[in-house]
Amino acid sequence: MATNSNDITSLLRQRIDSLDTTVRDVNVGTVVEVGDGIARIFGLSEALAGELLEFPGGVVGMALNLEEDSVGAVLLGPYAQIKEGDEVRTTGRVAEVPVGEALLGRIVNAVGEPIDGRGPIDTERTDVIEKVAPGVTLRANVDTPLQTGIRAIDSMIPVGRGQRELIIGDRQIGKTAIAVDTIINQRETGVKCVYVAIGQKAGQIASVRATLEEYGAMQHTVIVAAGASDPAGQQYIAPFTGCTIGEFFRDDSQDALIIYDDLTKHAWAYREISLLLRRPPGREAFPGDIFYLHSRLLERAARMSPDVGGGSLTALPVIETQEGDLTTYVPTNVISITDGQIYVEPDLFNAGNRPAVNVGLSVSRVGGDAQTQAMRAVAGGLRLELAQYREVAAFAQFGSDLDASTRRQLDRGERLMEILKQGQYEPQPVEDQVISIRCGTSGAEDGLPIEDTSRFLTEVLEYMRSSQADLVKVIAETGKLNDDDLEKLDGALTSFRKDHFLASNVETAPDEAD
Amino acid sequence: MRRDQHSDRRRVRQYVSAVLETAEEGDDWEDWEEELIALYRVATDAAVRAVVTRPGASADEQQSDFDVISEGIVGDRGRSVGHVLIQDGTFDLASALRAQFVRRSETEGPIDRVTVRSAVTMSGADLDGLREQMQTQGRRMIFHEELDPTIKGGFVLRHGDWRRDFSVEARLDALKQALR
Repeated sequence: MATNSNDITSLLRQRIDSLDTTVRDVNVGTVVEVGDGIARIFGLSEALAGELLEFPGGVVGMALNLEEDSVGAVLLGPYAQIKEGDEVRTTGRVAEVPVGEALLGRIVNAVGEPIDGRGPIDTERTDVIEKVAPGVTLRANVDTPLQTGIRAIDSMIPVGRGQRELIIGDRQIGKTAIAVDTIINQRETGVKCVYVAIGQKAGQIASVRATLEEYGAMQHTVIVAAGASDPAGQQYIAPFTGCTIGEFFRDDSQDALIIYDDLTKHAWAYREISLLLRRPPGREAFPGDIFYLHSRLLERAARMSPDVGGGSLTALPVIETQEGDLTTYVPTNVISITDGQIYVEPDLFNAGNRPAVNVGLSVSRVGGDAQTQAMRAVAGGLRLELAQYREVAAFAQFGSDLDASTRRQLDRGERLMEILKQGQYEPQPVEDQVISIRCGTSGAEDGLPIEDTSRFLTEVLEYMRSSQADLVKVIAETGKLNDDDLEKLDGALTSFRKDHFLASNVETAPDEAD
Repeated sequence: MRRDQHSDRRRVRQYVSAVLETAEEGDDWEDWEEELIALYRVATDAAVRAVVTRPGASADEQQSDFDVISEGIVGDRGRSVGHVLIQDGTFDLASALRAQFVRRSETEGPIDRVTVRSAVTMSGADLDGLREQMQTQGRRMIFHEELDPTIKGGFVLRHGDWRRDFSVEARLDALKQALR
């Protein structure tokens, strides 16, 4: 930049002349109690609910309890230096965080400050973290799929853009893996992702970041981290911060995805704050407004009407259950708020089914609207077939005398279960999913040994790409599969089975090889 | 008697209401304030507290120990409050009592508390001028002066819940922000 001393002098003169030195009255109070991330302040008669308060040393707090002669505030920074008698002032502002494209690829804390050691975030824009969700007239129907890349989900529990789909299950059985796979699958889709880590170990957050970087998914992702060692106040505001960052993309006519991992720990942090603020405890010692806390957060996920840009924010909140108990307070609340749930089951996980999604208990209330026509065409009867399989499999445990039809159902079900197995960090494009699912539902896999399923799927995809490239392209580009295409697909699968797979593995299917 | 945070808050409220009523009757608000501050200083001293609240001592013994220790520091008003606290077994509430008295004497009483923080000692004429400016009809002003060289020059006024900053430091800070 070409500048000389005259330019600088005139700039300084201009700024000094425009300096506003009017003395303003500032509303202040005095700290009477501080500890556990909470401060009680005498005074602050003009403080507003949710207003930011400034403590000595630049530490910021948020006014939560406005009482007759005092204010209860949650501290959002290190509070070791704050002591009784310190002066606190109101700021006239509510909590704001930076938003914009510049956040992509970055890790920020709950107040939007970068914590990845890559310098300041180059954005001028900020936005408030507490906002009212879009009203009815601003919304549109959820009718566009958000592909997770996971066969079990995209085929039977489709997630639409703007939907709120809960991922629920016990600890360490693959909830975060589903979320991370979904983020990885958005690489080519233009969907911006926000991953909010609440109360997690720093190592887990680092691992998610490393995975996203390894699979090239960090460029379209923002991580908001409020770890287990951060104050409860930061854990409380982190999802709202993430939501505001996601809303920027939604309101900019883009599609965004936000993962809250997890809202159980968020509820715990809020319970801790509420108890310290001496709010009356209710069921499981949670405060009375715990439902509103999550409903107002998740309502901000929306598909916007084309009149206001047509962007979307899809929310995948995660809830951790204890011993598979879905009936505790927070899980039932969030189940009732969301538009469906993906239930991850320990028994399935232990039996080697990955992802361990229980398709019987999982549901998407948006349904087929959020599914491509091609997927609907091939996966229409999948849920029913699996339900019949589970029923028959339960009875089959008691005896071996089964009629042919039952045996067929069992055989089909086992193969379908095998087809739904999928490796971690291996999300699949929709055309591959359609072909894989069709292998099961059309019977192209029937009679083959279970252990060959994975190889069959790999080889059939290669075969389809080389010999039926046009059909694959149609599915990928249009997401549609008309009757002729379906017939063509079935023909190709039969031909692959007979002429390629069985021909090279004669011993595996003796009844057809002769 | 079982104590918890709620019962303590209720008690402090009752004590302060009684003190406010007495101060109103005697119109001696400033004296009450001074003595409650003195009581607070004595009661928050760990050594004093250890002696006065030692286990096994009767309330009479505790009161006479308190009288001996606070002789010449706390006046009659403060001492009588101390006796009530000792009798109720709530000697540790002296700090909360004083804080609430300060607050409620402003909202429920006629007291205006003004603190002037200056970098150098202000002259009597300056202080009188300030006092005159701040005086409100029907209110009584308790004026505190503090020295704070960190504000570099000028002064900072604190009046109840409001602060008005006329310091050089605040101006420099505004300049710093403008030049950023």
